This record gives sequence, C-alpha cells and structure tokens, in this order.
Amino acid sequence: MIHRERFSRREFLLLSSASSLAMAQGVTTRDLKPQRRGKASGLPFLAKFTDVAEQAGLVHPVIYGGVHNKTYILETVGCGVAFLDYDNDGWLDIFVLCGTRIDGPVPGATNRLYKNNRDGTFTDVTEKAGLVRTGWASAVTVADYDNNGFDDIFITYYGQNVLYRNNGDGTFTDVTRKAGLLYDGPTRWGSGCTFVDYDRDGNLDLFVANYVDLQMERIPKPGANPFCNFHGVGVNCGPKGLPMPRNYLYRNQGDGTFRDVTSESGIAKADRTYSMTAVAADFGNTGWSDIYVASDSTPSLFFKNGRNGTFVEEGHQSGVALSDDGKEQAGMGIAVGDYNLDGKLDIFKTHFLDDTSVLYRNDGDTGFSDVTTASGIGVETRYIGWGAGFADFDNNGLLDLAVVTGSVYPEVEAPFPKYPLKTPRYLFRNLGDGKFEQLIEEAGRGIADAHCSRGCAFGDFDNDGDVDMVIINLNEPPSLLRNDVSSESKWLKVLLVGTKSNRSAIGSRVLARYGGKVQAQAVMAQSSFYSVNDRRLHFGLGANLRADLEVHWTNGLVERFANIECNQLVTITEGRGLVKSALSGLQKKTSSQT
Amino acid sequence: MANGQADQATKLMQQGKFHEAEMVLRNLAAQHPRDASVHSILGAALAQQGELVSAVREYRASLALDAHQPSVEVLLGMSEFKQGHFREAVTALKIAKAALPTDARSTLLLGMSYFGLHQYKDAVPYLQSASKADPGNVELRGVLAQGCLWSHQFDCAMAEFRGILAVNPDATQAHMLLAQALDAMGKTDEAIEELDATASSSPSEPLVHFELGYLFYKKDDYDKAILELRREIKNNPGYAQSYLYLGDIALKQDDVATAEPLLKKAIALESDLRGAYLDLGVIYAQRSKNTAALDAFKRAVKLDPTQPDAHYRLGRLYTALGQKENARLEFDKTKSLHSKAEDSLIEKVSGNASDAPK
Repeated sequence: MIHRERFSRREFLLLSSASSLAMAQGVTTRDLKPQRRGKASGLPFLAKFTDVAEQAGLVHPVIYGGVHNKTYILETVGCGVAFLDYDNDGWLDIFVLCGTRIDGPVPGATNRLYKNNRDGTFTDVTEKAGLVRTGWASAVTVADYDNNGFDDIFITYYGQNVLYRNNGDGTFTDVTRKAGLLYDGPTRWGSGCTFVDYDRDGNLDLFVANYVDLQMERIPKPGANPFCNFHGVGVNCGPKGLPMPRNYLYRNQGDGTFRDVTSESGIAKADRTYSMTAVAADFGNTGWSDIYVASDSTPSLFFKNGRNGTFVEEGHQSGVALSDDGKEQAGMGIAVGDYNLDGKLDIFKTHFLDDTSVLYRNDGDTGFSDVTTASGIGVETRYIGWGAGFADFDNNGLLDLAVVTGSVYPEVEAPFPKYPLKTPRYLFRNLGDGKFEQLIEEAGRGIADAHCSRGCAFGDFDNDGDVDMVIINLNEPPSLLRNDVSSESKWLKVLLVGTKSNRSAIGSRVLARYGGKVQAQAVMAQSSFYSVNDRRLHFGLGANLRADLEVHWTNGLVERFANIECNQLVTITEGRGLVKSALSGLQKKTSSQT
Repeated sequence: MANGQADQATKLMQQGKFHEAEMVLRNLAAQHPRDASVHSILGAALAQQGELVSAVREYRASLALDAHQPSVEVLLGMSEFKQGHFREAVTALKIAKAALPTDARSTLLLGMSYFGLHQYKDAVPYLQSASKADPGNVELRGVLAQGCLWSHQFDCAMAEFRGILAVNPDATQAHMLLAQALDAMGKTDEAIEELDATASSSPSEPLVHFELGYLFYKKDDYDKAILELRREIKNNPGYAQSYLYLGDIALKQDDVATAEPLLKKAIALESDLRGAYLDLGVIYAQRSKNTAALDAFKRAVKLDPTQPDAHYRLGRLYTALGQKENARLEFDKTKSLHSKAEDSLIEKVSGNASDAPK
C-alpha cells in the first residue's frame, strides 16, 4: 500500500547541509544537542564572582527595546561595555552603552561613564564628561587614535556612529564630523568596530562592521513568515532574510581625520555577511594585524593582512568561517587567547542556542582547527552566547573562558519555559590538557544568576591582581562581578605604551614565559561582544615567581625582558624600557589585612 | 477508415484479441496513413498487449494528425505513466484535463504522475480529488497521505493516516508514516510512542526499528538508537542506512575503529550514500590517509554537488595538502552555495515584505 521513496527522508535529515539548517527562524543554529559531559575533575575552583554593581553605584538600567516583546531585531541585539582608564589614574573606569525604545526615548537612557573612586565604588560622570547621548548604541572601541596620551572612544549606532576625542581634562568632544566620519546616506546599523593600525604607520585606523541593512518600513512583523517564528511563536525577523550591508575601513591620516579605504583595502569584497563583533590581532605571528569578524548566520570573516595596505578575506582557507562540518553559525562574540600555551592566539566564538560555541585552535601556517568537541566546549548548547573572554580567573597559569548569555525572544518564555529570557553566565575552566570543564554555581552567584546579558568586558577594576567582569544586562543595570581568588597563585600585569607604534599599542603581542610554558596575549581594542577589555594584559603565573616577557610591538620591534617578578604591573614603553609598580588596590588590601 | 475492417478490428478488441486487432489495424494504417483514429485504436491495441513504446508512437502519430483528441491524450498519458515517463505523462494529461475537467482517470493519473516526479505539493490536489471520488480506495489514501507528508502538509497527512488506520488498524506502514508525520511536526516523543507500539505488535516489520533508531539518533540518545538500529539489521540486514547511522554515531563518539567498517558496509550495500563518504573522508583525513580522504570527499561532492559541507571539507583538505588553487575552487563553491541559499531567503522574506501584516 505504501510507496517508499528510494531515499528515505531520514538520509536527507542526516545529511542536511548548511543551506537546510534549522532556519524556520531568523538565526542559524545547527540544532545540536550537547556533547556528553565527562567525569567532573573534582578540582576546587579558587575564583568566586560576586555581583557588586549596586554597591559600586552602577545602578542605571541599560534600556534596550521592549521588555516583554521585541517587534524588531533592532531591539534584541543590545550593546557593549568598556573598561578604560580615561583619566590615566591607573584605575579602570567603565563606559556603558545604552539603547532606547521603539516608541520613544526613556528618561535617563544614555551611555554612561562611571569614574572609578578607587574604593570599590564609581561615580557617574557622564554629563560632566560630555558623553550624554540617547540612541541605539551598539559597539565601542577605545584607544588613543590621536596619540595625545588619552584614550578616545568610538561608538557604532543604528544611525550615525560617533567618535569622541578625549580632551585630557575629564571631558570628551564629539569630533565625528571633523574626523570625516559623518555619513548622510540611508541609515546604517553599525555593529562591531575596532581600532587597528593595519598599515603600521603608528596611527590607529578604524574598522567598522555593519550588521543588517535594516529598513524599518520594510521589515516583516513577528510571525509574518516562517523565518519570523521560533518554535511556532511569532518573533522578530532576522537577520536571515534581511538584506546584508558591508563593512568599512577608515585610514587614519595622522591629522585627526580618517579616509574611507574600504574598496582599495579589499574590505569591500566581503559583502555577504551579517557582521557582529570585530577583533584585530596578529593571528599569524607575522607582525601585522589581521581582522576577524564574527558573522551571524553567515560565514565569519578573516581579513588576512596583505602587508601592503590591503586585506584578503580568507575565512574558509583559514578554517574560521564555518564549523568543522562546514556549516554557518550565528557568530556573536569573540574571545582571543592562547588556551594551549603554544604562543599562538586561538579564537573562541559564541553562537545561538541549540548550537555550541566554537573553539578554533591556531595551528600556525595551516590555519585553525575546530577543537570544540575535543576540548569539551560542546557540552553547552542551552543558551544564546554573547560576550566572552579568555582570562586566567584563578591565576593558575591557564586561560579560562567566560561566556554571558541571554535570549532574544522574550515572547517565547511563557509558552516554552525551557527558553527563558534570562539565563546564567558560565565559565569553562581550563584543565591544562587541551580540555575545559564547565562551571556555573562553582564560580559563585555572580556567574550563576540569570540575566539577559550581551556585552561584557574583563579587567581588574579593583586592582587586586585578578580579573573581574562588567556585563551589560538588557533593561537592567549592568553586573559588576568582583573576582575573589582564594589561592596564593601569582600573576603579572603588562601595560604597553607605544612610541613609534600607536600609543595604545593596539596590535602588539606579548609572550610571557613562566614555568616552562609560553603564553601569547594581544592588545586589542575590541573583543567579547562589542566590548573593550582592560588594556593591561594579565598573566596568571601559578606558583611561578617570575616570568620572561617578549614584546612584539605593532610596528615590528621585538623587545625582551627577563626575570620579571610576579604580582606587579609593569609598564613597558616601546624602546625605552620597563617601569615596575605595585598595584595600589593590592597594597590597600594588604594594609587593611595587617 | 474502411468500415468493414474497422468493424472487424473493434470486434476483435472487444473479444480481447488484441494481437489480431493489431494486424487488422496495421493493414488499415498502411492504407490510410493520415487517418488519426486508426492510429489511436492501434495504439490502444498495442497498449493492451503491453507494447507501450509502440503504443505511444501510435498515439503521438494520431495526435499529430488531429491535435484535439483529449481522450487520446489520456491514453497517451497512461502509457507514459506506465513506463515511468512521468513528465511526458503530465504534459499529455494536463491537455486532457483542460478539455475534460471532470475526467476521473486524468485526475488520478496526474496526481500519481506528480507523485512519481516527487512533486508532492502538485500531486496532492489531484490525489485529493481522486480520493474524494473513490473514498473506499485505501491504497490511494495511502499515496495521498504520503504526498501530504512529503510536501509538509502535516495536518492533511495526519488526517489521511488516521483515516486509513480507522479502516485498517493493523496497517503497519501507515503507523510508521504517521510517526514520520508526527516527527516532522516536532512531536518526536509522540512519534516514538507510535513506533514503539508498532514495533511491539510487528517486531519483524522492515524499517520499524530503523525509524525508531533514527528518532533516538535525532534526540542524541545514542544508546537507544544503537539498540534499535542493531535490531533493524537483525531483521533487515540489507538496509544500508542502518549501518550508516550506526557508523555516524560511532564517529560522533570518536570510536573510529567501529565507525569505519560500518560505513564501508553501508556503501557496499548502497553505493551512493553521500553521508557515508563524508564520514569516511573525515576518518581518513584524521588518519592522514589523504588520498583516500580526497576520494571520499570527491565522491560525496559528486553525489550531491549542491551541499556546501562536502565542498568545505574538500577545500580544507586541499589547504592542508598545500593545493591552494584546488582549495580556492572548493571554497568558492561553498560560498556560492551559502550565498544562493541566503539570497533565496532574502527574496522570500524581504521581497514580500510589503505583504506583511501591518
């Protein structure tokens, strides 16, 4: 009676390709179940995170779209956050981006600059600094683009992007027009952005990604078609099915202005992408900065620096465009670090739920290998991952990973409680054998508590010798996770100051050698999700009391410093040597204990 | 047509003496080569004898002489259908259907021809009409139900399968296809229940354990999947896909030693299983058996060049081997296939945005 097809649909499902992924929704996912968890290591984790945002004074909510419903994708993506030292006092300040609402601005919805009071609290100095601005802010990149000794800020928007010049007196000036970055065409949706000195002329250039060519009047409403649905619930549409914009590169002309070199640099050739976070670093150990862009539901982009003012997009060739099985993933956030201590920068990228994040091991000349499963990263598929970072949270000499998460479909939570809006953060503790172990509750309530998070930044805000986190939560105040490490493990912080290279040393790379190991770290102007980390590189040293440092400056100079003592900050000025200093936070902690 | 000979041929046809009728009609056709009716009746005589190629030739000769013969189009369509020439059948039957909109034969044959072409969405309306006209035809309902299932009209599929089962509760394959429909609707657990019941009542039924194994595979419940797929192999040792899925599970569990012989067995049974070549390519590449890996990935590409994954893996292998130009070609194909899919989506979603509810 029944006619059976020669090829049953079973084979079709088994072998479904990227083009037939779970796309009855706007975001690509591989519909993966988590890999089986191995036996717990049983090792104690000696770093604990506590959310101290409220007591620290980070109390203003990050307004971003509707709370219970999100009609447009614009409301869902959220924004980034930066750790920066805008006043050069040696203490990290915090710059928090903010959005608005479709039906009009909410009072107090502005980006905010919080000045570090050096006692665990912050003061909101937004107005005084001249940084009040309401709009759909996306990403931030921070560096001293004019080499005047103070960090400047560039922000992407749905709408006009903004460049703020740091005046050095606690205030900023909007120099977007003066810098040649004003744009009067159809509205763009700026996404990832990063300062990068791609031509090694000592001036920081600017890479600016765009997410979706979003024409609000043409975008279908939730539920309008199968791609605006999630498990049968009508949700905001996109990015799949919406037109793709392109990315831009602006060359710093050294006189405070930028020139659009998108076409001549080759960046324009890669125009099939929904770009999100952008990172610039020397992935090939060539001495030249490449750019890697996490792309949502499209192949991620790897712009290899051609060392002649041009880039060639080689994501596929390098093995970082797709998953190991050749499938597109919903790239959101990026972490860069040397997890396996081989002196090369590896890449971690976050994705949508029902998919794993990906860990790409840098194999040198042959590109990268997807080691997601081999490393144990594949155990987590429940949450939508956003900001992420490599950091040695327990200072044991191995880089761990942190990921913040949150849904994009608040409407789905009621009919499907298994897809909540607010979800926990999680860590992957590095076990040192190429494998990671997921930790949630074990890392403290600050990690386990559920929020709808997006960008996050990593840095030592209290100067106590460990890596803390600040996290954007949509329609809530940010989280400030103070890390308290209970071990005696040692550490070393390195701050680079360029002279011939750009002053912020963006693009420089440091190799730290300790206990027979070598770890690479890069100075970057954006990573995680649309965010900026503490520019002081933090190396956990385990039980080692000393480390040797090898600095590969952006402009090509290599300097070596031997036997640097642990538990201090060293400031290295290009070609001029090294200045050691104790961290004032640690001193205070010590004195208060005695 | 000469009346005497024509009458004789008709009488012979009525008596079931088709060969004799054919002889008379061939004689007539030689005398009256431009008589359309001689060719059509000759075609019918030939068709009755199973000489479908010759029958089609005569029907076409008749239609060339007189294009307006819908009943001959039906006969032509039927002969084409019986030969598996579904596209040609559809062409003839659509002409017939336009002239004879209520003709039951052309409706049924059109539905079946589209089904044969795997154009299930096109088949369903004709099959629904035919089934409505012949409600007791359970076999036709079975075809309709599958047409609904494979064109993703799940409500229709469920209704038809349940209708069949109301008449014949022991229709094992209907239970199995109902499970497929449930699974396709995202009700995988209900599908498993349906199949569990079927497997209990008909444990030897071919493919029932495979279907269960597949659903457990899909849920990443590999232990249960392995159990069911092994049961299927015991019942049905010649079904290649059981080995393919077992091999794929073993590979997912990093058990390459188990995976490889299973995948090879799958290919030995069915030489065009793309997934088996892809998995074998992965295994060979891991072991640095680069020539074998290249062969396997190339075979996977050849079996379905529209899937980007095999192109990507081939490109990565070429990269590892330093064959940059070959790698570039494969990556270009990967990108092009992804772009094509994305463009199609943009057209579907944004191209019709003006129709979206405001």
